[in-house]
Amino acid sequence: MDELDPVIHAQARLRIVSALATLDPGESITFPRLLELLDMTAGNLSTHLRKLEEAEYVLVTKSHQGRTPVTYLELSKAGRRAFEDYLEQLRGLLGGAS
Amino acid sequence: MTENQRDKPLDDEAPLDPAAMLAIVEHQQRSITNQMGGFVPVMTAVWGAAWLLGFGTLFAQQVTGFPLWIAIVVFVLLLLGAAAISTVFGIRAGRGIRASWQSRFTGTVYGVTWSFGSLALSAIGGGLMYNGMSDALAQHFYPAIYLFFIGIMYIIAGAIWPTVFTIVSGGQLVLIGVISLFIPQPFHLLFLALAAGLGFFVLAVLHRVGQKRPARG
Repeated sequence: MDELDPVIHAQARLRIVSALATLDPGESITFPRLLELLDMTAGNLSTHLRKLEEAEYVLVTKSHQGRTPVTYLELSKAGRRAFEDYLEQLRGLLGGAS
Repeated sequence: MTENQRDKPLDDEAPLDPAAMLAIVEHQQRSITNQMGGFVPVMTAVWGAAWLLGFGTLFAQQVTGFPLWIAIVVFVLLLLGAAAISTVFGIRAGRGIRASWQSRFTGTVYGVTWSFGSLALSAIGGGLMYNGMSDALAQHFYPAIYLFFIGIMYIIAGAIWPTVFTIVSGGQLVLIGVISLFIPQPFHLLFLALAAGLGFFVLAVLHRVGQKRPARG
């Protein structure tokens, strides 16, 4: 059995990736809305998002609503695939329970 | 774990055993779904109230004989009010989310179909009346055909944005509309008030209970 992906296999990042995986492919969410849904601190969310972005699991898009800058976040294809592989591995470790 | 567990910076890097990590995934995804769709039971209850009071007013008009236009205005205002509340809930739930091009296209076509279909049904009713449908038959036809349409739109919504709850709600409306055609006037209006109104209240309670059920694992 391969080792579990260390980028996802950490509680906070697993919560972030699980949340982003509920969005449809191509959908993205603003940083404040994700913060609200996860109930994390802004600093902690930023730190873990940076690690996910460095691993190219999360895409960060900067945009503007009027004059206000908005940051949108979404799982990349690689991130979604890594999350699915991770879940499969976990279920495998648990004896195939779904 | 609480509904919105505040993470702890010192230990949130530490992985837990596989069962606990899988539980985090299930809990987090359920929490997101509940936060985004937490309004659904309230919205369903609002529609239950609109159906109950709206059809109840039409029934009361038939029994007591107050002017029909008053009953129709009350009915339409109740439905418009419920639609407005649904729209506000939907906009609030979707805040901060940027939909994909496909999602926006699907949403727009679905939204326009509501207006287009409602107008088409109104025209079909008008055409039937032009061709001799009596007022008495129209009182059976309009509620049944609109409930049928609304029910089908619910089912389509449940298929596009997979939700069994929406499909069941839609199926319930279609059935109620069809059954109402076989109930004599004016009691079909009482049936519509009770079946659609109370039926939606029951669905609202069931949905709320489902949201509160803890995640497995």
